[in-house]
Amino acid sequence: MLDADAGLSVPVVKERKDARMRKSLGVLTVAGLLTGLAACSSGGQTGGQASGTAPITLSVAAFEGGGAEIADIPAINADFEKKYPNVKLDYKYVADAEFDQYNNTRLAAGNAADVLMTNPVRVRQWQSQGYLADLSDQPWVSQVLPNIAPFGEVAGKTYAFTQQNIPIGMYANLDILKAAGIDTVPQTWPEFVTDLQTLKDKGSNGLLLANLTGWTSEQWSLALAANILPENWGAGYDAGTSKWATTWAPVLDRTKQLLTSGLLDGKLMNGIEPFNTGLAQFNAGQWAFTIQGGWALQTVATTAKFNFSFNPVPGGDAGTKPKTFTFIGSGWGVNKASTHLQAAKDYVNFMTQEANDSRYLKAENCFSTLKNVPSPQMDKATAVVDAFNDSRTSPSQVEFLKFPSVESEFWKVGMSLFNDPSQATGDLLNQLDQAVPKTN
Amino acid sequence: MIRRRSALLLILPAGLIFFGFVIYPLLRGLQLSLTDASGMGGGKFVGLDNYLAILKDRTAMTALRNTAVYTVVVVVVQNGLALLVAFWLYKLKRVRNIVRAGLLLPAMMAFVAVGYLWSFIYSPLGGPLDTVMDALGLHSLEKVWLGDPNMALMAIAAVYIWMYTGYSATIFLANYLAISPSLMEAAELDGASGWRRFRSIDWPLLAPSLTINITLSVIGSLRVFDLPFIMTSGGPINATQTLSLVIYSRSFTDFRFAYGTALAVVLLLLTAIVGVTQATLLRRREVDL
Repeated sequence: MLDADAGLSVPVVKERKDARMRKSLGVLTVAGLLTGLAACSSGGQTGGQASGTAPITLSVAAFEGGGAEIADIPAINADFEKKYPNVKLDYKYVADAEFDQYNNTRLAAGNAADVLMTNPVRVRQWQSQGYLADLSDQPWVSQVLPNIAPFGEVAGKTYAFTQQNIPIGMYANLDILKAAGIDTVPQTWPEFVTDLQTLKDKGSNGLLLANLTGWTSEQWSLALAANILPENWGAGYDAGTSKWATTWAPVLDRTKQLLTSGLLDGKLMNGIEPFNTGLAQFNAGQWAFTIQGGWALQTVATTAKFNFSFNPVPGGDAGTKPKTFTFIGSGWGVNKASTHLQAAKDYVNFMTQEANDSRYLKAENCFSTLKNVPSPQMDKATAVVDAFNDSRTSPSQVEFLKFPSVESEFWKVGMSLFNDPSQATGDLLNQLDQAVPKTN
Repeated sequence: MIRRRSALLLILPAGLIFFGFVIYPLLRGLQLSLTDASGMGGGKFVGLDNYLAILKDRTAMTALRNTAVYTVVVVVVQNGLALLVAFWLYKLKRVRNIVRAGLLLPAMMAFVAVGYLWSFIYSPLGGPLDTVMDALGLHSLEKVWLGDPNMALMAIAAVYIWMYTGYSATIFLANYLAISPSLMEAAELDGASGWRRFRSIDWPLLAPSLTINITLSVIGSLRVFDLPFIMTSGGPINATQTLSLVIYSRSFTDFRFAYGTALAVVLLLLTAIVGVTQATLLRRREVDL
């Protein structure tokens, strides 16, 4: 092979070599840019493809899966990465109290996580700005229980998979009841009042409604409402067909009955913090009954040195079966601006599959929100599970209302009633009608 | 001219940072308060609607009243107690340094930790305060401290006073120690002691520290947030609702970000007016004395 540079002077050869090198570098640069553009282009197209293509990092922002509420999510995430080896999860846990601050600015800036943990309020708020992807065509949508479906929908389209459907009910210390000669947990309001009177006569503490901040009086009222109010009251509020005044009067009147007869010390309850002090008091075996969510089952089971059970609040008339209610909590939505839309939808879909959803439900002591996923067995909660299986469970009435501060307005009324049970029920309910506007 | 240019160059970095992190956000906040933005982008101009809505917001009005009451109580009691402690420490030279370090400890604790600690202390079931009252036979003083609407705000004010009395006392004490001992000796030789000496000598000479302490406690009280947020969430029945709490709840719970910003502007104006007025009056008093 002839050397093309043979016979040329050294400076000329060097110049030619430099020119060739520059040319090669130019070709390499162009090739590099084209490769980069191709890669970008392929990344951009990932949104329309299945998760099993190019390697991607899928970001998830959630207020569970870390801190004090693991909910078995790290294990579920690990399985997701096994099933989709090309997807690496970037899972960010942000405490619920900071979740809106964390996400809202990012959503507005277009750089929020691909998958977002939601709740009914956030679904409405975020979708009011069009931030969530329409998931109506996803396979799990047809499996969502009819009374749960509205919490993931806006204007008839599905924007989130609602996963958390957690019972709130009455914990009973069976040893205290037995000592007072009460063999079974009361099933109706008259039985409950009689049992509280028996406990009082025997010198035992009856009902603990630790109400500092007002949350507990709201849950107590919702539990009574599940037994007394028509199930469609909440759904009709923003439509203008329901009001607080008069409909909720029987609920407040039952509470007043306990407060005025000395079976419940409202002023004392208003000073007790529910999640630490109140629960600790019950776990120490000091009280016969208290109100808490299913999330407390493990804590009570591991701490209490007595027999206990978790039951629907016996708020109905004589001869009825007790009904209970659930708090509709967290779920999963997809950021519409995600560049990995398909992978994000795959993640939500993965969460709906029985093997994964069941683990979450068991860890959280939740009922299922899907027809094809059974609810987990819950030790000590047979009565609540029976109520759910017997269709005696409905979602919290206030969660149907779109006004964001509805709960804190309710807390004020509950605390006010506990502080002064002589107030007219109608005045308190009119106050709620004024404070909670119909919202669309 | 060169010196002036140098001076401008020297203040430029700080000026830019101040503009970027204080003035610009302030102007953007003012602009935001005139819209209906929900905090997630967007928002159309609504003029002064948010400010007019404040006047009709019963919770905001209650919060304004609570904030004013809280500020007056904290400023008066905290500074009164701090002055007493400083006076006592000034006289007790031997224990002064040990006690002074201890006085600052509560102010060094995080509000969140203090809030939880005092929630436990105030608890009507097993809380140390009521337990002590019970043990001493003072049953009439056993209260539901945080659950009683007539008591809750003062219970929270007491915690804030507990945290910052030592801090204020340390400032008063520093002022005391700066007073020439010969002046005090001369006053005593002239027969001025006790209340007479305090009124005629100590009080006028403590004017600089009084200005600082009152300014700090007024600003700290007007923007009170952490303690009621942790201890009562503004309850019972709005009894501990403060302006900062309402700003938070309207912005981040109700998603009425523009309205929350309008409330924040009101709080800013209130703090500025009260702060500047009292600082001016106290400075004028210092000059007069």
